[in-house]
Amino acid sequence: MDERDYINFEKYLNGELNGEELRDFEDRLQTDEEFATEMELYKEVEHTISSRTVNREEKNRLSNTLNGLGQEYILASAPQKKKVISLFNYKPWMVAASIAVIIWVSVLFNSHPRYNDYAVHPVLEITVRGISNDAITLAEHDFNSSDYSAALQDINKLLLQQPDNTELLFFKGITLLELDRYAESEAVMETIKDGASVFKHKAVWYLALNKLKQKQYDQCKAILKEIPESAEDYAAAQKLLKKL
Amino acid sequence: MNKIPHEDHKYIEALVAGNDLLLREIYSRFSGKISSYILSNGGNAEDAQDVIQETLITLYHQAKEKQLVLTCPFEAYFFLLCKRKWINKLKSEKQNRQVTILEESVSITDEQAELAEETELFEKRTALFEAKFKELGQKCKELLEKTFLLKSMEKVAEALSVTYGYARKKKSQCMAQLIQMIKGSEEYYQL
Repeated sequence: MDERDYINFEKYLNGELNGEELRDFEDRLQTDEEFATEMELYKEVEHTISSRTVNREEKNRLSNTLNGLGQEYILASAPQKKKVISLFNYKPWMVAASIAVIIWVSVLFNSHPRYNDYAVHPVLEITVRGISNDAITLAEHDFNSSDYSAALQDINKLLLQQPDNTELLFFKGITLLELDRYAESEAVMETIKDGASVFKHKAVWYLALNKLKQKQYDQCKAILKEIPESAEDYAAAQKLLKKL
Repeated sequence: MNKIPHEDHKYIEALVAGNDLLLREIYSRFSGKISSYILSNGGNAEDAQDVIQETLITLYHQAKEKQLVLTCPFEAYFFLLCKRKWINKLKSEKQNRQVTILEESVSITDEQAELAEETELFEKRTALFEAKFKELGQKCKELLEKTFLLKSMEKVAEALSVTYGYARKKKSQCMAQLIQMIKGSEEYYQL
């Protein structure tokens, strides 16, 4: 299979092959089994991914409904039976190894402050006019439940309708940071920092957290010093500076 | 051959239409038995909730993408799917929970077993497609998602500020890459 075959799959499925091209293509489908299988797989994959992309919100809504019903019918009515796994079920070397890992991890992390200890995000509660409620509900749900890949898509959709909304941009920046898309998050936060919105100082804090998450401690320190005393995050910034 | 839907096909339709009343009926009528099966086989209530929800989401996808037609009663088919999903989960957890699976005395017809197998295969195949799609590079993912959402390649080209010709070429390339990743995976040959 080469690149041209895939271009032809695409054309064939769109009904763009004509005359001799179409005859050749259909002949090959009849005679070349591998080609026919690949074409079927192409169709199936495209159909699946396309449908899931288009229906993502609908599926999320269904999941939410089922989740609620599950809470009501299964969790609420079931006797609380906890899984207890006794320490004695493990071999002594496993216990020793786990303790060693715990000690090692705590030594490792005690030396530097951790991103997760400082990244306490505000709750997303959007109040924008002119956007349908479903889209907002989804964005809020996904962001507040830390489903950041979904949240990014939701927020991007909202931004299509309100490209200049700083609040949305700010939350997009946080989402990108959570997804380790450092450069993109930095670009968004830089823009907000240079603007005049209420998120101006918070953006600086997130620029610092960006560096902290990447373990670039010196750069993190430099940015933290930019946060003015009047800013909401000043105290947290000072605390983090001391640890660094 | 046209398949004749069983009257319980209404539950499949409810998943697609988001019919809250019928969705509630699924839980009130069928979840108790599944849940007690899972509870007596090494699981807890959360496990039961997950298994039931994942199974229903699979049925939703199968109805949307493959026009699933339920030709047998829902209860036995649904129970079989949940039960097998739970057994698979137990097997895949490497912590060797000491669990003896109790055989439930539910009579399963060939038709129900066949329908359940189709659903399981569908779930595995499409899960593989989705997993590989997630592994694609960011640019490819974005371009493909846009082609699916915006429908016309002209609009995609415009949204990404590239030429129409480039967008089309890139789409074939990204799809080719995705297909190769799927075919190159071990799971593909186990399907």
